[in-house]
Amino acid sequence: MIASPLLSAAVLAAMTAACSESSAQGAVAADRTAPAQGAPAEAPAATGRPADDAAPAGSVVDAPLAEYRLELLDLAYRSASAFPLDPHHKNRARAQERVVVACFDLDQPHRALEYAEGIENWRRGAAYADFAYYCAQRGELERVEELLDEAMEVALADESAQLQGWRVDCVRAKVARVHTLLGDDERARHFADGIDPSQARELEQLQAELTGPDALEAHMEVVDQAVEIGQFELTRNALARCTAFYDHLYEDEQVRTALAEKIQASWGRLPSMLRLEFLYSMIRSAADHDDPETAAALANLATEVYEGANWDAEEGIRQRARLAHFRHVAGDTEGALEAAAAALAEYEERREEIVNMWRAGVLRPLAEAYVDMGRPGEAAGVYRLALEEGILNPNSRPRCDDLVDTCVSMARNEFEPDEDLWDFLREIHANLSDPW
Amino acid sequence: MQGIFHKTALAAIAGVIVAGTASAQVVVNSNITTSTTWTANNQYELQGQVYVEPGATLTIEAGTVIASDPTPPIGSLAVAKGGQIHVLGNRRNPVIMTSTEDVATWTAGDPRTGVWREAANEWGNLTIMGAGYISENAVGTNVPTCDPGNVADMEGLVFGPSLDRYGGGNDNDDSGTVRYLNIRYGGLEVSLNNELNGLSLGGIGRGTDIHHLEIMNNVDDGIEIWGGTVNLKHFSIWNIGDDSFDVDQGWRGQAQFGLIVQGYSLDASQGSGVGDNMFETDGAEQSSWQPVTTATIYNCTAIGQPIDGDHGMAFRDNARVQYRQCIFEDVGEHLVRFDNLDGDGGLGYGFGGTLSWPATWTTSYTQTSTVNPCANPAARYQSQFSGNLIEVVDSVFKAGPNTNLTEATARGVLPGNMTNGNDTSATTTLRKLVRAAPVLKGGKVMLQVIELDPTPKIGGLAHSANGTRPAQGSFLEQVDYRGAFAPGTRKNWLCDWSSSYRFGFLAGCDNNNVDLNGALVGQ
Repeated sequence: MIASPLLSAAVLAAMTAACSESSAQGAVAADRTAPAQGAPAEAPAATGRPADDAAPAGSVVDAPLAEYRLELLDLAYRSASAFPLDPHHKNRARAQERVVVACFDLDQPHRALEYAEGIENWRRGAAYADFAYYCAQRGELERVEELLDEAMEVALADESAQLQGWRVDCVRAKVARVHTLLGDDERARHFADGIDPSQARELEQLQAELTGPDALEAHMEVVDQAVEIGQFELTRNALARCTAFYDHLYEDEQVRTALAEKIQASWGRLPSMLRLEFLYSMIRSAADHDDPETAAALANLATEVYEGANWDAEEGIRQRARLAHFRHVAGDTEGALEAAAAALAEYEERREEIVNMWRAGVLRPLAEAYVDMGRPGEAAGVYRLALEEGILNPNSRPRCDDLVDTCVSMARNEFEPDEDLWDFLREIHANLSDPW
Repeated sequence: MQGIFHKTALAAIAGVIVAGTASAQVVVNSNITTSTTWTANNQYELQGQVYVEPGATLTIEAGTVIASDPTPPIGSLAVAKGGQIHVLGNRRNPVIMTSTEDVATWTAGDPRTGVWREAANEWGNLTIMGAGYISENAVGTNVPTCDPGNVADMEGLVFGPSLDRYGGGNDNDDSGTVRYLNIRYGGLEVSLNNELNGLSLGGIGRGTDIHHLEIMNNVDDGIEIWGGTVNLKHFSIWNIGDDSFDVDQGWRGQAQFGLIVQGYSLDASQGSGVGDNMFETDGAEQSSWQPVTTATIYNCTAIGQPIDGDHGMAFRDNARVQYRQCIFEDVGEHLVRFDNLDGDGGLGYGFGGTLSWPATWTTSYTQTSTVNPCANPAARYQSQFSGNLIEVVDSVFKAGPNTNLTEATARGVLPGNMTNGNDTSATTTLRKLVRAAPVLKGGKVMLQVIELDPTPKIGGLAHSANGTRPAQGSFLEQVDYRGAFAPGTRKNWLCDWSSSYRFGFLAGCDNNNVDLNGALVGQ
């Protein structure tokens, strides 16, 4: 069984086990990559690294990717691997995993697997399971079983995973996810049995999505029931599915309008961040269907939601950057540029409120927004600022994390550094040393 | 050398010997801004509040002693959000954080020796701050739902937000590793009129590993956890001057294999020298806010003060805590105590549409609160996996002369409710429990535990559990006994390394062997 096209990106994003490290540090990048993760099975992209005898799955190949993006991924991985194992084995594995996840998102499965081999804890097992999922999504099933066995073997052999069972559960959830995708509910249940409940619930959610009714009318009743019951999760899931219907049935204006009204009428008890998520999804749908008027109206509504909530400096600036991005998606590039400039101004004003090791994480989404707006000059400036802020901390641990995330951000967002920026990236890498 | 210098003169006078090696005395009197390793061949003295600043990592080798002087500037250690600490003790060579007064009782400076004293307040504490979700309503920008922007200022710290704030949006946050650590004689306020807990954990995520930890003789709480998802395993809390295990602000972790032995650390009032509650659980600073404390505590052995101790399990402000496979003995007041309010402005169970106190006991763990709901409750609440939001099941109780069972009976905790698997015992369920003669401390009658084999009596009610086993593969281990210690001939996990062992309180450790790496052998 293959994922339904109606399966929402939000649901699939939620399917990524909570214990995994997201490689999308910036929200814009997360938005961009989520649909790719959730896409139904397709023929693998042409070319890429040719499969050879050593390749674990013959028809799954690395897609073509610009050389500079491969270099960025490689620099990110080498930086992550520079962490000394003692005592930083957890930090090292987490950073490596972020690069591996980015590789999957960029359709570089073999590179992901190659990098995964360097992970020296249970997260290597998680990567094997992710590779199996990647293969299963594409109908390449030959080595799925073997990969899943290896995934569990690695997880169970790790002492730290034994110490905190959620780490093993993370891998079990990923294994169960593959079986769910393949329609083997019995084995999915076997691996999901007894795991941390959020992961179990997510699996159940996926099963429901895969087998549930597609009828819109029935779903609208589900939304009403969820709101009436007042159970948060039911409401959230029902509205997430509404956004999928919104996209799928976009051309029917009456239905689309009814769905939009239903979402807004039903989110009264949901927090602002979730409301923004629904709006962003709908903006994307409107833009994809060449409906700038609706997209702009939704972007305005998102701005209202943003302005009606309290944010601290870090999150507020990040959200501003995200709003800028979706203004651009909605076709209002001028407004988007203003919003981005406002985000940068706020950063400069409130910079001292943000501890130095977290400043780059605030700036990267802004750089990503500028990339998406086709403003490489501004993007370069913000990326450079992020790198400069990232090295203010005298310790290599946060410097390394920032370098990894910035390289991954650039690779994901198709931002090619100029020579100066390359030199800067390499210099930061070369200076990763004691004190860690 | 950034505030660290060798106290050579003192070393020459003291001639401290650690594990057979002459150790230098190193004073640490300013923040750790660059990553540092403290080694076992030195003895470290904290002077003033020392922070591990964001980005820095403090690594402490096995066998290292950190002993601070009880005279100002009072030494204390805090790991700021973004910092990490790796306390890498092992069974043979634990790390000890204590006072110089304690070290003075050691024979030839050997940390395996020492004499228990009626003392506390001789240095500060260990505080660790992280970026897990918390709920706190004192910071103006905080909101009532799970929000990455919600932060709190750590109790007892006064530097300011850049170093004292915890909380964020990463429940998987990793503040490092703490293993085989003894914390003794602490709790002295450094800057405010605030006693300090032995171990303070603010917003700590489940990526942090904490196991094999003992707090002995602290003036305030033993362990206090604010928010976050940190899990604890193999912890021991003795002679604490306030609550032994205290949680608040939406802690959503699990704890297993915990020993609480109530007593006194000082001749001072209850709460500042004489033990208060065994477990004190607050939901959130305001009870309708989220995340709300939703936790599971498995296999704990709690030994109270039978005459003048306080409550066994106190509940406040919407806390949701499950106790399973536990032992409670000699509770001084209520076994289950419905405090409802925490005295800090929270409005208790049922406020703002939250569940009432009785309803919380009968509502499935699957029903996360719909008041101020979190954006992704399944991710925020992972610690409970069956049963009701509050429950006490598959446990055994040995009442003391003053144990009050009213609320426990009203909530169906006591036997007679066939579904909960609880038992009562007329005598102790433990192999050995010896108390000192009664003394008056802080106006309370105390019967200090002076000898304890905490393993279950063979064939006793703690020897086997009724079947509410933890989920396979979770943080929790599947065991078929009640309490923190396995029955039979296996030696208990406190032997060798803990303060309670080294002060001679533990019985039944004679045949315990470890190899040079600290691993058990011959089991």
